[in-house]
Amino acid sequence: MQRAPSPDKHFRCSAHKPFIPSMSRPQVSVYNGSSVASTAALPAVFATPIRLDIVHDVFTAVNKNKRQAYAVARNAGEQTSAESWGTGRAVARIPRVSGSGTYRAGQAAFGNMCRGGRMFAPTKTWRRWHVKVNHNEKRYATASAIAASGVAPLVLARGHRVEQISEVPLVVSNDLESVSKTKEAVAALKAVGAHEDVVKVLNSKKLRAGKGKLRGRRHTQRRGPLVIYANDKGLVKAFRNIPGVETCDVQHLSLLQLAPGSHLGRFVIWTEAAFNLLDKIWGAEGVESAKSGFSLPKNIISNADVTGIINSSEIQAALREKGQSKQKRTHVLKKNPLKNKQVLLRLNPYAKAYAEKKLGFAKVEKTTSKTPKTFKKLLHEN
Amino acid sequence: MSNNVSYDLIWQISRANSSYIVKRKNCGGVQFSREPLNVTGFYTQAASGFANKTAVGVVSSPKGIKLITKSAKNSKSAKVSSSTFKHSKDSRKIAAAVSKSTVNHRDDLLEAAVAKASALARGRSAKKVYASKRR
Repeated sequence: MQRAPSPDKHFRCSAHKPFIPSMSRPQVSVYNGSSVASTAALPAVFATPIRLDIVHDVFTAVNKNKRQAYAVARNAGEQTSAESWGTGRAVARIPRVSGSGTYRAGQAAFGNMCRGGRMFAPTKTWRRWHVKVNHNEKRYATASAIAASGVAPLVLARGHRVEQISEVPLVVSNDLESVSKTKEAVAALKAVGAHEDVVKVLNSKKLRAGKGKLRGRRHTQRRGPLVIYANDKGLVKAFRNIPGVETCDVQHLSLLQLAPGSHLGRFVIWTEAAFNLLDKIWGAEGVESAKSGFSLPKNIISNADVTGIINSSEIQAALREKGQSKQKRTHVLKKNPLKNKQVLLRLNPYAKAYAEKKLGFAKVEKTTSKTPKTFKKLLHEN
Repeated sequence: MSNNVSYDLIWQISRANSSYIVKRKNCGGVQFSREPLNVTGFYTQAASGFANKTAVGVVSSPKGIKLITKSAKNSKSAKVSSSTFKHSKDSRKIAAAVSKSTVNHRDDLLEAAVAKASALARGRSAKKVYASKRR
C-alpha cells in the first residue's frame, strides 16, 4: 500500500529533521565587537555545490602560475674540447678531455654519467610553467571554496580555532574597514573571538625542513583568518603585521587564499559591505552576476540531507514492511542435520511426526508369513 | 549550514585529510583522531564530532574531567557546551554522570565515553605505594 505524502506537509520526524527549504533566505548576524549590530541575507554563493574534486584540480593548476623560471646554465658541463678516442684503445668511446699534464686530461666528459659532465636533459627556462584553467571552472572552484568557508565543521576540520566564534560565516560591521592601527585590529579580532586562531599561528612557527631555509623561506607557520573587505580605509595596513592574518578585496578573491593547500574551509571574516557585495559579484536569483557569461552552479538535489529524507516519517510510511531476508546465506557454518533438529526439519519435514510417533523406537514386527505348507505340494504336482 | 551541505558530505570532504587525522603506516595504516569531540579516538564517521549533528567528548582539564557536548541547535557555529567533574569525585560517580548526559546525546557512544572517563579518572588518582616487603 502506498501513501503519497500530502503536499502541504513538510518532512518532519522526531529523530531526523531534514532541512526544510523556506522561502525566506537565511539571515546572518552582523557583529560589532561581540554584540549583534544588524543582520544580512546569506548570499547565494554560499549555496554553491561544494566540489572537492574541482577545487583540487583548479588549485593544483593555479598554484603553479606564480612560479619563477629556473634552469641550469646553457653550457654547463660542456665547456671542454673533449673528443672520443674511438675504438681500439680499450676504453669506452665516450668523449675524453684532450691534452696532457693535468689530472683532467683523458677523463670522460659531457655525458650525464660523467663527473663534471652535463645533467641528463638539462632544464630550460622555457619549460611550461603556467597552466591554463578554464575561466568558468576557476569561478566554480572559487564559489565552492566560499560556500565551504560558511560551513563550521569544515572550518574546524581545516584546523582553524573557531570555537569562540558565535556564527560561521562571520560578518563584522563596516567599522573594521576604517581600522588603521594594528593594535585596534588585534582588539577587533579579540572582540569577535577570532584571536585564538592568531595564537595558533604564533605557536606554530617552526624552522622549515630542507633547503628552503636558505632560499628566503626560513620558517613555516599555519594560516590564520582571512579578512575580506570592500573598501580599504586603512584595514590592509592595520592587519598586515599580524601573523597568519591575510586580507583580500571581495572583487579579487583567490582560490589560493580561500582554500590553501586545496583544503576547503578557510576561516573568513567578512566586512558587512563585502558580504553584501557577494550577490552582485557572483549573482543570485534574479540578480545577474558581474562576471560575464557566468551563473552560479546549481545543486542537483535541493536538500542534501538524504539520510534525513530517508528516515522521515513520510518516506517510512510509504515503504512496505520489512520481510524475511531472501538472500542466500553463504559462508555460514555447516550444521549437522543429525544433531540439529531445525536443520533436520528443513531437510526432512516428516522428521517431526516421525519423532513424535516414536517410530524410530518401534519394534519391527516379525512377519510370520512362511510359505504355506501346501506350496511344496503344489510345486511338485504333476 | 545551508541545505547544500549534509554531514555525509562534510565527512566525504574531510575523510582523506583534516587537522585531526593521525595517519600511521604501521598496524595496517591505522587512522586515529586528535579531535576533542571524539571519545573512541578512531578517525571514523560515527566517532568524529565535526561530521555529526550531535557529539560528545571527554577530555582531561586542570580542573577535572571535562565532558563536552555538541548539540544540533548550535549547527551555525562551532560552539560546544561543557561540564567539568572534579577529580576529588569518586570515579564511579564521574562515570555515572558521563553516562547520564551521553545517553541524551549519543547513546551509541555511551560505552566509549564511560570507558574514556573512567580511564582518565584512574590515571588521575594517586597510585597506592606499598612498602616493599623484606624477606
